[in-house]
Amino acid sequence: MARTDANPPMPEWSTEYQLVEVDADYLGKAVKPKQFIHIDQSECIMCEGCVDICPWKCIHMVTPDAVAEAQGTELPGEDPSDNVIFIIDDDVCTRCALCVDRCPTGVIILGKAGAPSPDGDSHTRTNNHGYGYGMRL
Amino acid sequence: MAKVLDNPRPTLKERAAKIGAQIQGSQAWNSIFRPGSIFRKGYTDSPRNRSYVIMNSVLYHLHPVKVKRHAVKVSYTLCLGGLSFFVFILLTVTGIFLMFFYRPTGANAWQDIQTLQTSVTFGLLIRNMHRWGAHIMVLTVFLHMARVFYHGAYKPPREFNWVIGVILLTLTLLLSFTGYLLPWDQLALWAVTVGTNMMGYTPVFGSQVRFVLLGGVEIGSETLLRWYVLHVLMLPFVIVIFMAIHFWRVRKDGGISGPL
Amino acid sequence: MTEIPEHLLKRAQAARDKAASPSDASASEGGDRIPDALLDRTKASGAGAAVVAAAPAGGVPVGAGPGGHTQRLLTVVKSGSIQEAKAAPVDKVHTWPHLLAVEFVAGLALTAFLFVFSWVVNAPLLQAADFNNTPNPSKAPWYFLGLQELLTMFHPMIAGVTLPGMGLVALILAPYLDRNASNKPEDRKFMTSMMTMFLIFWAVLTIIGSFFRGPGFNFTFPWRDGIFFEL
Repeated sequence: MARTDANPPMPEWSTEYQLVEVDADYLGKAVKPKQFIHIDQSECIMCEGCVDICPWKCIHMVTPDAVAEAQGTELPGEDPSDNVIFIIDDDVCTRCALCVDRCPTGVIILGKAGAPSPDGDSHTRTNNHGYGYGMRL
Repeated sequence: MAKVLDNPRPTLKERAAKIGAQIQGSQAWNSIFRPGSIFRKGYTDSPRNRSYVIMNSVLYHLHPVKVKRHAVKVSYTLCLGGLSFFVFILLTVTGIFLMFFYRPTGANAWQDIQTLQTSVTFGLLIRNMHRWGAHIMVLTVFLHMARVFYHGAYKPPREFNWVIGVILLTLTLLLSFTGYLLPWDQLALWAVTVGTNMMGYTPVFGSQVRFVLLGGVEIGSETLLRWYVLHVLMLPFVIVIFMAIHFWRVRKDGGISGPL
Repeated sequence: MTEIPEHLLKRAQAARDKAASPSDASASEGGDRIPDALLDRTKASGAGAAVVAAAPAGGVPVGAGPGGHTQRLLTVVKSGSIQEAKAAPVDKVHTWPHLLAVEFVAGLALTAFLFVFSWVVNAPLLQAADFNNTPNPSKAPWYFLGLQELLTMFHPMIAGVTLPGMGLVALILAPYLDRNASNKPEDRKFMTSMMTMFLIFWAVLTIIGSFFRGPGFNFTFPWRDGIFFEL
C-alpha cells in the first residue's frame, strides 16, 4: 500500500514549545475558519479518541514537557498534577468536528473564540443539536 | 429520425447503472450503511472518508481509525495474530456445518463421519478444511507467540496481554485435542488414550482429573459426549471471552509494539 | 453536593483576579502581545509557540509554530490516565485502506490455501474405534508428541505434568521475570537465546516423536522403516 500512500502529511510538531497567551482578537486574525475546538479538561478521560479519529492528524496528546517555556501564563507541568496536554494545529484543522463526535464524555466542543454569552455556551451538544456520528443534527 | 437519435433507448449498461444508483440512493440502503461507508453512493478517497469508514463500521470494535505506520508492515507481524483469529472463524463456520451431520455416541460417531464423507455434498471438503484448519491454527498461534517474544512485545505495558496469550495458546491446544477424539476412529481413540494417560499422573488428584475428563475410568461413549460438548460449546465460549480481552488490551496498551 | 476540585477553584479565583485588575486593557492590542525576545528565541531554536506565536506584519499575524503554523494548547489535563503519553506525537496511517487491505489479502490467501489443500489432501479416517485392537505405535496428536517423547526419558509424572507445567508457568512469568526494558534484539541476546533453545528443544522432541518412533515407540529411521505418523 505504500505506493498509493494518500495519507495527509503529519503536521510538524515541536518538543520545545514557547507558550504565549493571546487574546481572541489575535486568534481571529491568525487563523481563517472562525470556529475553534475546545476541550474541557475536567471530564477528559484521555482516551485519545480524538487523536485517533482526526483525519488530518492535527490534534495530539503529549506530555507537558513538550512546552519548554511559558510567557504570561502558567507553564504546564509546573503543577505536579498536570498529566498531559492537548495541542491542535489550527491551520491544518478543518473543523470537521469528527473529534467532537467521537468524544465519549462530550467535552470537546466547537465554538467561537471570545467571551461566552451570558446564557451559557450555545455549542453544547444535546440530543437535537450538535454532531452525531457523521451527521450534523 | 432525428427524434430517435435525440432519445435513443437506454442501453443495458445505462439501465443497470441507473438501477444501481437508485438502490444506492434508497432509504433502505442508506439505513444499512452508515455515512462514510465505502458502499454508500459518492464515496471518494479522502482523509475524512477514510476516518469515517472505520468510525461508522462494526470493525471499529476491533480496529482504531489509525494505526502506527510500522504496524501495517507485513514483515513485522507476518499477520500471524490476525490469521489465527481468521482461522478460528473459518473453523467455527466449517464446524457448524459438521455439527449437522454428527452424533456424539460411540455407536454413531464413526459412521456419521463416514456418511458425511461419502454421501454429503462437500462433506469431505468441509471436514478436510476443519481438520487442516485446526492444525494451521495451532501452528499460527504458536508462531504468533514466538514472534511476540522475539519482538519483546510482552514487556510493559503488555505483560498481562502476554499472559492472556499463553492462556489462549493453551485453550487452542485443548480445542484441537478435544476435537481429535470426535471422529472416533482408531487414530482418535488411541491418541487420546495416550494423552489422557499422561493427565492421570497429575500429583494428588490425578485420577480424579482423569475421571472427570473421561466421564468414567476408561474412554467410552461418555467421554465422547463430554469432549463433544467441550469442543463445540464450552471451550469456544471461553476462548472467545479471552480473545475479546486480548484484542481489547492490544488497543488499550497502545496498539502493537515496536518499532524495534 | 459534589466537591469542587482544587484546581478549578484556583482557576476561578485567577479569572476573578484578572477581571478585577486594570492591566487587562491589552486585550485589543492584537498580534503585538508576543514579546520580541521570545520571537527571536523561537526563530533561533526552530521551535514554535504553542498557543500562538506571531510576527506582526501589517496587522495580519503569521503563525510562528512549527512549519509556520498556528498551534494552540487546547487543555492541560490534571487527572492520571492509563494511556501512555510521549513528548512527541507519533505519525500514523489510516486503518482503511492500509491495514484492512493487508488483512483482506492475508485472509483470502489463507482461505485459498486451505481450500486447495483440503481439496487435494484428505483428512485421515481410519477404522472405527476398537478397544480390543491397539495400533502399534499409539501416538498422541503431533503437538503433544514432544511430551510423549519425554515419557521415554522420565517418569510419567515428570514428563507428563511437571515439565509441561513448568514450561507453561515459565511462559506466563516471562514478562515479570525479564526486567530488561529494551525491546532491541541486540540488548536482549540472553532472552532471545533462551527462547530459541526452548523452541528448538520442543521442535526436536516433536520431530523425533513424529518421524523417528516406530512400533513399540522404538527409535527408527523414517527412510529405512517408513513413517509412523498421522496428522
